[in-house]
Amino acid sequence: MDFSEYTLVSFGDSFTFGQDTVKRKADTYKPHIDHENNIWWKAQCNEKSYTKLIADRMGFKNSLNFGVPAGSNERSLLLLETFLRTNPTLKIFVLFNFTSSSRYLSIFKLDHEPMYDIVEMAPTATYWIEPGRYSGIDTKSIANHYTYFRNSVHEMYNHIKERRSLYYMLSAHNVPHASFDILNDMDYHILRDNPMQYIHDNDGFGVDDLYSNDEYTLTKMDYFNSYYEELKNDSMLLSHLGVNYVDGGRNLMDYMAILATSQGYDYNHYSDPVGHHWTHEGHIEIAKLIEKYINEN
Amino acid sequence: MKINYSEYTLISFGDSYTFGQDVIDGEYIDPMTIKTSSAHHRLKANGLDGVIEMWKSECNEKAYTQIIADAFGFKNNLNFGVPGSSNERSLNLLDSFLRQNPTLKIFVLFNFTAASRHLNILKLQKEQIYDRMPYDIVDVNMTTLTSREAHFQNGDRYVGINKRSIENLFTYFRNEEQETYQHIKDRRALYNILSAYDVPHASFDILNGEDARILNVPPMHRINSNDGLGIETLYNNDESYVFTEMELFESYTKELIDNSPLLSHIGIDHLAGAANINLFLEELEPNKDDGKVIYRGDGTKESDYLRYRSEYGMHWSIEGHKEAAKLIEKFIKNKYDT
Repeated sequence: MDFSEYTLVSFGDSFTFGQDTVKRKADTYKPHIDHENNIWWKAQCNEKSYTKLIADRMGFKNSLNFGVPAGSNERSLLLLETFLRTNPTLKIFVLFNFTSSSRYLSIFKLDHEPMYDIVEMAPTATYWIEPGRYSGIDTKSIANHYTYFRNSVHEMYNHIKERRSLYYMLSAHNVPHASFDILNDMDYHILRDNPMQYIHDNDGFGVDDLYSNDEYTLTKMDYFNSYYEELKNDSMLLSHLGVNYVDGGRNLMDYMAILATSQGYDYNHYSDPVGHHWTHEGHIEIAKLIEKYINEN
Repeated sequence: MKINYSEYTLISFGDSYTFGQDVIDGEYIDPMTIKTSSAHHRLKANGLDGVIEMWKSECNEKAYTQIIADAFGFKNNLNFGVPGSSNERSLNLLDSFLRQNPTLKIFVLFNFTAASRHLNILKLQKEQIYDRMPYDIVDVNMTTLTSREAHFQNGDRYVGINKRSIENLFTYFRNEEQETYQHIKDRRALYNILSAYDVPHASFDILNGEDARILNVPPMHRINSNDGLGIETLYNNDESYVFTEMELFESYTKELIDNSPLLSHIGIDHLAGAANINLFLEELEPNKDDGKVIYRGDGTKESDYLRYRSEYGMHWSIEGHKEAAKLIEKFIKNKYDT
């Protein structure tokens, strides 16, 4: 691949954004407060993040950083989908950082207006959702939602859906890519616990009559089982920097902690002591790992 | 693209309409009460699984998928219609099928059902757990879930799931704008899956009415713009690249207005302005009273005898399936035979 013909387009969360590589005065979680400072801050953080480092080191034509602080995989997938659809002939290489599976996008109704907001949801969303802003949304309803509807097994299912979704988007447009998990540790948990053993099989009423391995193939609960097999056999559909590449850690966060201790530092050597994201030095180390993976694959 | 249908398998995804529910008298089987795997397993244990198999087979045999397969001379057909199911369920099944049969020549029919339906993995109450498996995959739909089984309503079956929590879910978390957003995501997901495998297809809405709703009030009139912190600095429209504000919603609305869907989709323009095929058939219904009630000799009303509505339930009769099949056949011919 001649990277100089390609634009490196990067999706992910605050780590992709480069948060904490540059100090910021305004509150990260209340972006509407200081728009101009945000623009300056984004440019500065993006400049020091792994995306820019990889683009420079590998000689990409240029780079675009779609990292969103507190962003979800769902947000990243929407931004990618739009970008691919509106630039079908542009030569791009995609970096996709999967963040925590518990995050997602929700559209909530403003309490006293007939309008809706798009909100990044997380179990800690009340940190950035003003009390009383949205109808029916408060600490209790969010806690109930995460406890009963978006429970840990449901999150595992969403994780698989998001992986598949990325695969189909990239396949439909035939785009080279590298994906990885900075905060996401679901693959580690799936491999450790195989949560599929705790779910009653149910492909839908009557679908078991269509299971076959003859003229066509359709096997029971393939949606879940195939993903588990891919993990076990290290045969991911995506070009994914998985648990086999992170020196025994669960994700790239762990990898950096392991790297730091192996170099004789504290485990959090590469993290900002206040914001807990990586420092510029941390981004340099992670860029090396991703670059190595791209070159090898 | 001219297709030799005799080389292709017709694969059909959707809900109870796709399944063919109510084309025969299925009074003895209520899929809503045996959809959960525990109930299904109990039936199997009682030797009644064959009854379900036979019912599915008979319903499928008279449904629009079989009628279309026969009319075009498809090699064979597979009916993945699931009573009470969601678009999410259909997309997962399609994904599994394509991934496991990447080289099989197939033509896909995809019926989008109500956008409010979705899959949820719920935790069973301790006393409901069997085989040491505490989780069920459930097709969640506010009306069916709360009405079909009392133990859903009073929380006896799943931890934290009761009438009130489901109502809160659909009122606040999966509100109508969230459903519109989900609808657009489902459409895009289908497009990406089919494009990845380059599969000929026809999609349509039997119960889904989201497109009509979007055309009536575009989502951007109701949703405040937010592409994520700092993304506005990446908006661009020159030779280097294109990226515009809230494009997911804007582009989908524009496709509807311009009648240029990415999918090969039977849209409102093919349905004489009706929001979906179900409403289209209602308009076609020849036995309506047209405002005045007509009584038959036995005292029953003429409107009790609808041609396209089944006498066994709320779904279509065999005549209804034939009429829907005609519409879909016409669309496929125009799209793929010219």
